[in-house]
Amino acid sequence: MIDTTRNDEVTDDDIQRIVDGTLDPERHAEIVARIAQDPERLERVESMIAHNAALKEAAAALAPYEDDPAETDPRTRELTEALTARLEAGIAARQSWRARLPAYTRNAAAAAILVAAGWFGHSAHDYANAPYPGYVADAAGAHLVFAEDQQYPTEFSAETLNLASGWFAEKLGRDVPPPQLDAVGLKLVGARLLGSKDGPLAQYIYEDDAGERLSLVVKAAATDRPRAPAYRTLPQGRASYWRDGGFEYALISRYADQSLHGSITEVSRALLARRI
Amino acid sequence: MSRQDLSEQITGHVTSLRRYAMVLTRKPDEAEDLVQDCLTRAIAAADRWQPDSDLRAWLFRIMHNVFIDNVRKKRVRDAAQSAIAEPAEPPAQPVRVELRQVLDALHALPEHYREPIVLVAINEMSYADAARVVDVPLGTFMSRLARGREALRRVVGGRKGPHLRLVS
Repeated sequence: MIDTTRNDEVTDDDIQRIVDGTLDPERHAEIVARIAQDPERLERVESMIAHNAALKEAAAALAPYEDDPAETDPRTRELTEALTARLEAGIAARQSWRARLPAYTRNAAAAAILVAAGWFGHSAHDYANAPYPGYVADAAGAHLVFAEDQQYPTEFSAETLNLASGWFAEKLGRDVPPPQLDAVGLKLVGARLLGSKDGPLAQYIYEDDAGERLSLVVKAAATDRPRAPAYRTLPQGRASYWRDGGFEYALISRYADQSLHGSITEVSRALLARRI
Repeated sequence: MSRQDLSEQITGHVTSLRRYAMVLTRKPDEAEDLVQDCLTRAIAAADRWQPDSDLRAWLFRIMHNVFIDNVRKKRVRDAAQSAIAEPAEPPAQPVRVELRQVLDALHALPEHYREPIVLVAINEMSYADAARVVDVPLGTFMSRLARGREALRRVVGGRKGPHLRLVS
């Protein structure tokens, strides 16, 4: 029997980090010392380390031909070249797309600061014949900066969002439950708070089955009067915005094709129907 | 990023994908098929890749989907021909008997345990990146990693081999 009472401070996560060597040295030494008090547990962890090392060695032994093109399967080589060409074409297309944007949006860090300063609002008229709310421009800028980021798209993941609900409520001036859009095939990735010249904005990021991301920006409205959804194509993507139940909403997708226009319509309807 | 850089990066990732597939399947042909399916899907989805995002993580995520699809298909096939036992195939490259034992034990585990163990072990991927590859929350990933490693240890069982001593 393993005496769990004696090693209760050692978690499963600690053990995994010992196996992978990803703990800082101080914590590593502390955990190893605790594990060492229990010979059975020590034996288990040492086995795991040995198995991990064996897998690394096996991986190298099983695929020894490495990067040598002559040894690579011809079909694999062909596909690798085709993928390189496709991704390269994508980078080139994106660069030309980006070249049409104002210089400040090319740099994510600068853009983040400018979002906070409300500059996207000022630049709105560069692209539109008719005015539209500043927060919609801010939402579009924030989408460009954050939503497509694969590493850290949000401050709070969908799982941890509940912990931040009090803070969100305080900043937005009222309680905002995270809008759930599973019914229209959109999974909540997470959320963040943004500053804008019109006040705090909550940005919720969603992902569909194909990995396309949409963001929904919510802010407190000055009036309870609803406003029907309006659509607009901005340089940063397709936007839909409306007001309902004391909140202003903006839904942004970088892709302007018909299917996403359709999903924007669907989301607007779902939210309007629920009056989140 | 120059064409040369991108090409080298992708070639390196394909090597990682092949290693991953080899450890997961133990069979060279099956591993090569997995890599080729993964590349085919990546070509089809190339428009959705964001140039600023992590190419390796994107490719591994596609590989994960291909692997899971294949596991499901194989399950259906196996159920249809349950009477016919699949002969064990020797690996193309000879590996030490200790490594073979660990690979065989790994293969006995359900795929939702196998993948986290291999992703972290051979790719030196962070837990957060690996969790994204298999599309589960970090907490779920950590618990699968812990349970998977524990299960692997039990399957390898009383194997007597050189231990890496934590404490001398």
